[in-house]
Amino acid sequence: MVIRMSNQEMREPTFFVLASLADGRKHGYGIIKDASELSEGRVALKVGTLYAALERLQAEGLVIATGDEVVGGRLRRYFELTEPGAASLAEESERQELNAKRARDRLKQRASRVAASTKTASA
Amino acid sequence: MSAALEQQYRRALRWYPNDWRNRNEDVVVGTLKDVAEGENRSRPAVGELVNLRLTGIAAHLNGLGRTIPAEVRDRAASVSIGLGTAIAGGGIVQSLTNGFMQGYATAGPFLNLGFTFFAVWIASFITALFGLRKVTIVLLAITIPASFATSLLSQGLGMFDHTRSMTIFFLALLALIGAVGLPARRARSALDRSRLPLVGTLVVASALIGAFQFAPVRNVAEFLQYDPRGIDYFWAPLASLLAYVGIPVGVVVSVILWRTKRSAWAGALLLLCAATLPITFLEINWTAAWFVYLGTFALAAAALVAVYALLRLFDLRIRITRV
Repeated sequence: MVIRMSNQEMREPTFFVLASLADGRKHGYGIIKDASELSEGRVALKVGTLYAALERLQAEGLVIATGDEVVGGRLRRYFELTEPGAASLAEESERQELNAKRARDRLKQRASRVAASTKTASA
Repeated sequence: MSAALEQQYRRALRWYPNDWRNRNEDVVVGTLKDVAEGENRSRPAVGELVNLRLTGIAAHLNGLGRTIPAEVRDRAASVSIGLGTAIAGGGIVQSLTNGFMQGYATAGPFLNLGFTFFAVWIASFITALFGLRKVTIVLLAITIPASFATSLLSQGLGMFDHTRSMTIFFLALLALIGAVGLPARRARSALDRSRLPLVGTLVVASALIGAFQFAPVRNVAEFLQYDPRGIDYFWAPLASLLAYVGIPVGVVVSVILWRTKRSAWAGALLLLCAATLPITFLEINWTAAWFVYLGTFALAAAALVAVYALLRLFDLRIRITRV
């Protein structure tokens, strides 16, 4: 089992695949729909990309296949997030939150600098 | 959902390796049909089919990668990209310095359009140096069709372009080896120590090619090109050199590396020896009788076995120590 190195950045589709599985096991089409909803339509996973990502995530031990079911004549495979997968998702979420906080801080600094310079110019 | 739709999806999935299809085909077809139903389609989307083919090719590359250890692939990739870039650099210089071909159209200061194909190789070296693996793979993949395209276009535009198919073949082989490994990981500096094999190969190979290219022998400068009189001044002597010296020495060195616990480098060197082997065989018809080459390989193999047997018999060890 290979666990993702903590300093590697996670690509957006991978992030949404893991996020989609965070609330329970899902099959391929369920993940595609959920990733689209979670990203407000930005991430439209192609089936080939999804299964390539799931193969990689299974090899890294972040996701496991929990069984196949035939529904309406179609074979569906269900996937579930593992504990290392949940930890990896949590770590990536924290990283993104930290990045967003830093960006917001800088924007606040910029806003006060712009306000100060406008005040000086008008005086 | 029509049976025709399923047939089209299954046809697209033929681009995947067999073991992948055995594991996943029915599940993937089920998901593809779910998506088509959700989008109210009765035919596959073009983007969907393109995506399946591309991910299928990627699955083949991943499968190839899994059969060879990552450390071996990474080192072989470093040497391949360094060597390919040195050949590309030599090709550009050669294209600029060819003043002897008269009566042909030119591409500005260049002899033909081949410089664009060589430039992509140089770009792949730069991206590899900065650890941008995906961009490097894309660039290396582009070099393969680009070599044919620039060659055909140059000929169509009346330029002197008889780039040897051997050059194209060898660079394509190097591009493939370069694509299945990770030449350098992302680091703060491009001058990180892990870049040494990549940069070192480029420097050494450039020096050797440069010395060969500018050797004071008439026509040796026709490096990488097929001489119109039918004599190949680059690959023919190189094939002999590889057959008689390069590959046997490479095999001996890899055995020594393996014995001195440098198994990743030993594997990478053996992989590169195996990759250069076709050059010697494909050049047989141009240079010498095939049995001479086969005899050479048989003798080299026998010599290696004899050396190994002697070492084992007398319990001797070859040790490399840092001075």
